[in-house]
Formats: sequence, C-alpha cells, structure tokens
Amino acid sequence: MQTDATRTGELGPAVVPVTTPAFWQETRALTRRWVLQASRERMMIVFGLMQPLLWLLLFGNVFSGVARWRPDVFGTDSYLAFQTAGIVALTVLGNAMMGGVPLLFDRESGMLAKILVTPSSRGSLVASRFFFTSAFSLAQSLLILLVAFLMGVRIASGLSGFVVILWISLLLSVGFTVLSLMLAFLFPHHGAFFAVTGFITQPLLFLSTALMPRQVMPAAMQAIVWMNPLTYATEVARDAMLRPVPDGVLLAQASAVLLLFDAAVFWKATGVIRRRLE
Amino acid sequence: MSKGDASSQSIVRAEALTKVYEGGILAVDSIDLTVEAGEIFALLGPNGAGKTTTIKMLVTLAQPTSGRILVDGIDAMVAPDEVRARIGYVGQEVAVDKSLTARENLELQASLYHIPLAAQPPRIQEVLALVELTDRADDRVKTYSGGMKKRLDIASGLVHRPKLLVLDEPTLGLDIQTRTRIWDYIARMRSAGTTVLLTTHYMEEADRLCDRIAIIDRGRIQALGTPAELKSRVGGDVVTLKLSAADAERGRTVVGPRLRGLPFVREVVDGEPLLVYVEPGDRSAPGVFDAVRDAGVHVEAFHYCRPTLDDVFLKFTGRSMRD
Repeated sequence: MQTDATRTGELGPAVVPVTTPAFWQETRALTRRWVLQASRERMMIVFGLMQPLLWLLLFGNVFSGVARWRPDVFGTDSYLAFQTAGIVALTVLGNAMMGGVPLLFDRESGMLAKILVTPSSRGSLVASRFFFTSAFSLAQSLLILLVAFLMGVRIASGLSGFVVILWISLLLSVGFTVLSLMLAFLFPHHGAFFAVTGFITQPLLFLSTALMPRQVMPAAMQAIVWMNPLTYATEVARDAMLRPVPDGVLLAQASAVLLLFDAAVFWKATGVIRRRLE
Repeated sequence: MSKGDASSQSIVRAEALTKVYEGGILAVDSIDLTVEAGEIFALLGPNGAGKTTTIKMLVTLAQPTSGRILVDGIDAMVAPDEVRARIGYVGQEVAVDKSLTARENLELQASLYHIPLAAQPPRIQEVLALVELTDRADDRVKTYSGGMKKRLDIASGLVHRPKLLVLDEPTLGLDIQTRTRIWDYIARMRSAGTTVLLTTHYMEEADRLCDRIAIIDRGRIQALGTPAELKSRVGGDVVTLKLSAADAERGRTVVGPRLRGLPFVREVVDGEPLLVYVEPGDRSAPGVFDAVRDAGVHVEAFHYCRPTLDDVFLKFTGRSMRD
C-alpha cells in the first residue's frame, strides 16, 4: 500500500539510526553552536586569545635572565625560547579544562535535557566540545608562536617541529577535554566544578616543566613532575623548539604516555557520563 | 519490533511504572495508564506528586526502578532512540540558547533529530509560523520576552513532527496572554493529529482543554477520566448553607436527618457551613432550600455550584490542591 507508506513517512518522525552521517550531522550542528556562541562573545575571544601572551610577555621578561645563568640546564640562553613551549602546552591544558563549561550551564538551564531527549548520540556532544576547544587552542598556539617569532624565537626544527608541537598538543587536549566534560557531569553545581578545576590546574602547572626545568627542582618534585601529562607535552614541544632534530624516542614515549592517559580518562568518563545521562 | 495495529495502539502505555530515588524516596508508585492517539491528556497534581518523574521516565531522562513505559508500542528502556524520535519534549525550564537566533536554535534541534539539511527550512518555517515568531526568527533570543522564549521552546519540540508532544507545566509562571496563546497552539496541534501529554497544576486549564485527566498525588493515580466524569464522581453538585447562629444546634439535630431523607440528596456534611451534595443539581437545589425552611430554620446564605476539579481533587486525595 503505497499511500499508507507515504503517509506514515509524512506523519511519523524520521527515525534514523545513529549511523556515521547522523553522527557527523549532530557533531557539525553542535560545533556550529559553540562557534556561533563564541563569535558573539567578542570580548571573550579577544581576551581569551591574548591571555597566554601575558605569560609570555610578563613572566617571560621577569625571568629573562635565568636561562643565561645555566644554559646547559635550560637548553638555551633565552628564557623566552625555553618558556614558549611551556606556554603552548599550558594554554592547551587550560582550554581543555574549560571544555565542559557550556555543558554545566546547559545542565542548569535545561538545555542539556533537551539535547538528551533527542535521538542523537552522546558521543557527538563530547566530539563537538573537543573540536571547538582544539580549534581555539590551535588559534592560541599559533598566536603564541607568532608573538614569540616576532620576539626572535624560532622553532629550531622547522616545519617538522611545528607538526610535532600540534600533535602533542592534540594528545594533551583530548584527555583534559574529556576530563572536564566528566567533571561537568559529576558535580551538581558550577561552583564545585570551578573550585575543583581551579584547584587542579595550579599544581599541574607548578609540578610540570612548563615554566622551569626539572633540574632546578628538589628531588621529590622531580619524581612527581614525570607523573604529570603536562610535562610530557611540554618536553616534546620544547625539544622541537630548541633542537634542530627532535628526539624521536622522547616523542614516542611521551605520545604513548599521553595516549594511555587519554584512554584511561575516556574509559572512566564514559562510565560516569553514561550513568548521569540515563 | 511488533507494533500491533496502528489504529488501536495506545501512544503511551505505562505498566506498573515505579521510580524509587536514592534514599528510598518513592516518587512514582506503580502507575498504570494509557494515552490514546489524538487526545490531550493531563497529569494533574500538586508539586512533588510524581508528575515530572513520570514524564522523565517517558522521555528517557530517567530509568524506571520497575515496571515499564511504552511509546507507540516501544519500550523506552529497550529502544530509547526510537522512543526519542517519536516524542517532542518541552521541559519546565525554558531551554533555548539565548546567544543564537530562533532559526539557529531550530536548526540545531532539527539536526539533532537527523532531519536532512535540505528538508529543514520548510519545517522551521512551519513551526515558526505556528508560534508566531516568523518576524523575529533572525533576532537573537536574548532580545525576546519570556513568553516569546517559551513559544520558541515549544516550536523546537515540534520541528521533527513528533507523534507525541510532552509538555511539563507549559504555562507555569507565564502571563495570561501567553498562556492563552499556548493553549491555542496545543489545540491546533491536536487538530493536526498530534497527541499531547502535559502536566499542570492549574485546574481551570486542565478542565477547559483536556480530553482526559489523571489526578496524581503521592506517586499514585488517584482518579482518571474526562473532566465531566471526574466531576460527576464527586457525587453531585454542592449546596452550601449558612444557618443563623441561633439555629446551629437545630440544624444538626433536625435539618441533617431531614435532608438525608430526601431522594436527591447524596451526602450531607455537617458543619459550618453545611455542605449538601445533590443530584441532579439544578433541579434539586430549591428542594434543599425548601426542606430547611420547612424545618423552621432560618437560612442566612445559600450557595449552589457545580463541582470543580478542585472538589474532585479534595475528594480523591483528602486535601485541597491549593494547600
């Protein structure tokens, strides 16, 4: 009965199983939402992009002399060159940590419930946040490298080093974006979320090699530094910044560690998010 | 999945649906109900009665502790995505992205329901026209009034043409004009063939627009039927008599028994004032008045009214909804 079939199609909803095109349609629509939101918050974009430059210009100048004392430890006599990789890694981490924020507010406004009652897959929500956050991190990283370039810092290993920096940033971004999304689901209010992420970010920064080489730290701290994902991303990026030929072994080891970290976070978060969503 | 005969299929079927929250709070206690295709069905009850929890299990935002809920014959626990595709849900809070325009909000919603991009513009045009937002479609939602935001929220629940529209307190906290408009949209949705399930604690609204009402309190359905059926179950119309203070004693000893002897009196509730349930109401009320006067008791005030849903609520739950 052709008429009946047509009729059902007209009246009934389009039941499309979650296939790959459906997943991309959702992810694309959600990513567009984040982009539109951000593009209408000009001040957020402008100040967000400039924020890491403060580290570079202020912190970098305050400590400009230290690398000249021990160029053997810093790997360079320019603290600015030393610090640039750390600022890129720190910026990627900071953005990723805030990746879950819109979901916090969506949860409180009822918007999340509205998204969850659609037949869209929950993964597209996570993927869209990851894409948006990573794109923002990429723009910031390029700006940092550009400003550093204008101040005389060159990527010693050239284009291949640039690719290495992007790769390791991506690995760092995945894990912390997913961690942030998980915390956004876990905490009942945004107050708790900001308290905890703020609390985590400080020790992650100071217990890493983003601002200082580990050789200048006490022995106990040196051990802890190697448990910090930020250190691995920083070390790889710094190696690419300072050495003409990046260290392949370091790259492989750091990639493995970060991939493991990402997988662990992803595994843990899937459980938490699924439980909260159902 | 077998779906039975489409014409006789209930759109919603709850079977011993139960939800116990952590800490042992029994929010929904073994509810059975069906919503038939094309009707407007209301869950009526005070805050905390279990309405929203029932809705949440229906729209797959919460899992039943036991029992099950089927939409169009499909178990919400077994195939949630199929259930989700059939439902348009408008929650209690106005959930729209204020930094986007109405059109952008609807485009997002359409894509989350997997409507192909090419098919979206006419659908969006259609729902914008329904909620009378066509002129403002490309303005950012942050410039909208509260009523406009709510209308957009309702439109976004319709963009995928759901079989069932679920509205949780659709008129809560809105001005009279917006409320009237929303009821108008709901009526139009029904004439277009959409089934509507809503919750409310406004008696008048449920009475005026709904085909059937389930009165829900303490997690259970206390009564279910058309507004007229429910009101007739109150046991007649209500005659309220205020006797003069001097005759109060005589009212109890003489008037009460005498009224109970009348064929059209269903029930007498002694007190101040005196409540007499009569049936049929319009023709019996004068008889009540005559009987009291014949007993030599002076009537200071006399009031007659048909039962409201508030009386229904009082009768089935033992308390007033307005408490």
